[in-house]
Amino acid sequence: MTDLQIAFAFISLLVVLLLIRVPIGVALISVSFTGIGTLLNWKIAWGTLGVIPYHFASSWLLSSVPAFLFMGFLCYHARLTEGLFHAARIWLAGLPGGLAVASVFGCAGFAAVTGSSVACSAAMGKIAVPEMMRNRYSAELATSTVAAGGTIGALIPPSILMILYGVIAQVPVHDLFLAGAGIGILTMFAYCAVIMLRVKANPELAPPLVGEVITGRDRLLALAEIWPVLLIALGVFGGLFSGVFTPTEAGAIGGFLSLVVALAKRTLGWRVLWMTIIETVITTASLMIIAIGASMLTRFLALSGAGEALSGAILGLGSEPVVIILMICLVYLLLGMFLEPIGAMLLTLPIFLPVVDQSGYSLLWFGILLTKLLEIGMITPPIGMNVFVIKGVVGNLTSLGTIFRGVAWFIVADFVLIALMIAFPALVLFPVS
Amino acid sequence: MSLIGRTISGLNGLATAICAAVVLLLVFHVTLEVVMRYVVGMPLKGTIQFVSLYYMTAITFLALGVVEQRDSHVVVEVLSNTLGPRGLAVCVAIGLVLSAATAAGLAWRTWGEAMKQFRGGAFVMEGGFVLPTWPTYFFLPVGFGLMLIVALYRLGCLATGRPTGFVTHGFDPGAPVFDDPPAAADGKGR
Amino acid sequence: REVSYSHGFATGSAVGVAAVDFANAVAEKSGGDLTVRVYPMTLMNLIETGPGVRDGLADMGYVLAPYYAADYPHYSLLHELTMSINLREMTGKESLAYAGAITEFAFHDCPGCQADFARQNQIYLSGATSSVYSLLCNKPVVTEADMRGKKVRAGSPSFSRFSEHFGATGIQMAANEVFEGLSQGVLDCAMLSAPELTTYSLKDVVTDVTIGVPGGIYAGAAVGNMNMDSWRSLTDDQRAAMLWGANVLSADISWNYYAQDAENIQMARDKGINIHEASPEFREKIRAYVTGDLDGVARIFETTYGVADAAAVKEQFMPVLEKWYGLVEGVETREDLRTLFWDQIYARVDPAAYGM
Ligand code: NA
Ligand code: NA
Repeated sequence: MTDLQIAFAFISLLVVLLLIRVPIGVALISVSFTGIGTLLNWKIAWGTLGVIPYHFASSWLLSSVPAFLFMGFLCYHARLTEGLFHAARIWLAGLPGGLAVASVFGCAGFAAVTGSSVACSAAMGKIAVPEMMRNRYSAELATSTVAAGGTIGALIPPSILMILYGVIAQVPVHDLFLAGAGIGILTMFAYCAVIMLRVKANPELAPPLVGEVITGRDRLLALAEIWPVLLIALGVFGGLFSGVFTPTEAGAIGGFLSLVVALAKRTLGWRVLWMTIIETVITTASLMIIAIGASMLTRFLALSGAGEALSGAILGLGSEPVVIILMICLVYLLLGMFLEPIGAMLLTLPIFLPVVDQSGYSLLWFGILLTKLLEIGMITPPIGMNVFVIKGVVGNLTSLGTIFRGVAWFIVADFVLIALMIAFPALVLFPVS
Repeated sequence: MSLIGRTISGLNGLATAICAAVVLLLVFHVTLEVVMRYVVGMPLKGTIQFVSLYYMTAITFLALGVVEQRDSHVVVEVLSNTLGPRGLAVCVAIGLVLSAATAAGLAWRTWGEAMKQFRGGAFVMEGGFVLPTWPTYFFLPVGFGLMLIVALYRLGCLATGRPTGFVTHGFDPGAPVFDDPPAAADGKGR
Repeated sequence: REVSYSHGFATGSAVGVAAVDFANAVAEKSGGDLTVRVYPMTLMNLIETGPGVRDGLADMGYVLAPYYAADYPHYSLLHELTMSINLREMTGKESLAYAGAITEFAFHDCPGCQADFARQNQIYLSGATSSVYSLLCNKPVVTEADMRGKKVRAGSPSFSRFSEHFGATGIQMAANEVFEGLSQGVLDCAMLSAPELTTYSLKDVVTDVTIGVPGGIYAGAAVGNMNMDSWRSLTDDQRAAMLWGANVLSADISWNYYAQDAENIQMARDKGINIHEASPEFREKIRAYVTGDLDGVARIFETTYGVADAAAVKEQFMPVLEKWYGLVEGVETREDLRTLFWDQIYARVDPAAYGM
């Protein structure tokens, strides 16, 4: 067998292992190990096990991952984000589908203190969905709004996906955060537009709130409730963009600020802290083991030449760079149907990064496009984590199929946004230049 | 069996507690470094080394046992969901065998590396003080070792059909990560 | 027979280009009997390369000895002595002289270096240097007073000591964070060599460059360390071809940095970046500081790293370096440097006996 044949045999084996539910990290490590052993020799394969896990994990740049996770989990468990939806609700109640629009705003606010999209859906789902159901909103609209709104969580900084992408593609995380904020806010407005258009077309989806009188005083009081999130976000992003600390340090600062705010709000108990840390630790460890595996796969692809062969094949298929980008989009939409975003990203970047680089697109732009594509995967069937989380919140009140149907409208808006991002890269890059 | 389950849970609980302390240390250490640098103009020496070599390796590897115990490894569930309970059990078993083999290989290899670093007394020097790095190499065999033990034990339980008897330390291993804590559990409700 | 060579740099960089020339030289010299496959970045990053070559992930690699100073104390000591270039009048060719001196010394006069490498299952084949370190800043630094209170990225212990001595705050930071650090104002300056203006796009955020401060050179890269087993598995002829190529690798990396330094300074001038030199008073203060610091270096390596003969190594190395300042005076081209390295260093290495 040639090197390439061996490589593709092992890549196929990897796919099979993933399909039969072998943990992604374990599948990546074991396939890369046996692949390198078969291709070269077992001494080298044995060597990789000793060298790569330690040196990959002992990374200063990646230390912001646990720190940002800590901050997000703490804000959630210490209930620092509850005022968001309430404030948005009071201010936006007059709009068509006002509660749904408010939950999208709530998601965007929560996004500023969490790095993941599931967290965002879960948090808003618990607060906003019951409120919408009480006001006789259609279950389809109520649940799908929050499932889709959650995806803003990984676009508006902080974002674990962007940190990992920045480390791998060597793009400044600071720039990714800035550009991501732009697209995150655009996504928020696009989702609000979807809701209002749908409600205009079919007012039964969201009956107007009746008997509720909102005074100017209510509005101000509600605004005062969002101070915890505002304070934390201002502290983190103010310090980050004014040069007090680096993006790597921002996570720890955010974690510290949330601890202080939670203490001040008297919502920080031992149990809250323990839950927060356990989730931080478990999420970090399960992400890092995948990243280590992906790092080993990268070496295997390099040694076998399969990485170059795949990249070359993709570059050879379409002569137009835009065709290549569209194909990459399609691949990620397909992967996103089934895979968890970080796994999908780590699995594919070794092959796609050189392709994107050589086709002349900016890696910063691609990082944002990629985040957007992967986040769509969070709400597409059959595996849509955000949808599952919301289903968990509502229980038997509605079916998975109903939520997925409602989400389809938001995905249409996402497609429009992605087309715009590809047609006008400046739309992504303008906050940075 | 449940004694083994409890013992394993205890070991993992200890590892998690260490990780918990390390997460807090990371947050405080980096914050202090920023404050010292910005306010006093005197950065804490060796912060990058502490964070990357000590904290990151501890958080990444020590928690692998508890990840395995909670079945929190990220998996692709496209096919396995359609297989029915028997098919799923077979998939889980294959996953556990591979996890155990991988963890065993990694534990063995990283133990060798850790001993090599220990015998050489590996250290880095930063700003005039010596920071030993050899202890950080031991987080790997310990973490992979815990993962191996849990995977083997879970495999045994799966084969014999007995419950694992894992004890949770303030969280329910089956519950989704984002579930609310039961109000009763912290004694004061909300 | 094919050997793999891993380095942690981009294909088009000073090292990346030299690596290709190295591979071509080996293939040509051996008549195709021995070839080198180069892995830029993909196989191992810079930090993994030391243990990676030890374990045979690659046959040969670009090893940063100072990063693992405890494993390679003798070579790291030679690296720390680069601050001594501050004690002479600047000629611009310090880095070329240092590359020749450190490579010759490690091959022929430093049994301690050889023993350190052997303990890591490696054989030393090539040394090389970056260009001289400068201050890349977003504000002018000319006098000692300018230096005070500045937040400076200092990548090594000797640079931290330098910063502290002159009242600046030495900040540790990964090299790929420096761009953000400078653009956001976390940093005022970074101690790096001028080619970094391009490598990390620093030219977009740097407004002022102070040439030759703090001085010093990155000389601690053992750019062609080979796995001992791989080395011994070669035939005498193949080893001769490797040495021929290693000569190219040493000379070309050093030359590429040297040439890129000049290009980058010129590019910076064209871009309107201010190029400064330290004031004579500051220069004098730097000399005084470095003289004292160099005495301390040998002591640190004795007590901390257990290099019992540190002072003696320093005494033996300085005359070799002095000789090389003279040798490189006539070097005007890449070929001159290759020839000089061959005649002075590599021609004296016996491929049948070295490392066997
Ligand atoms: Na976010
Ligand atoms: Na999906």
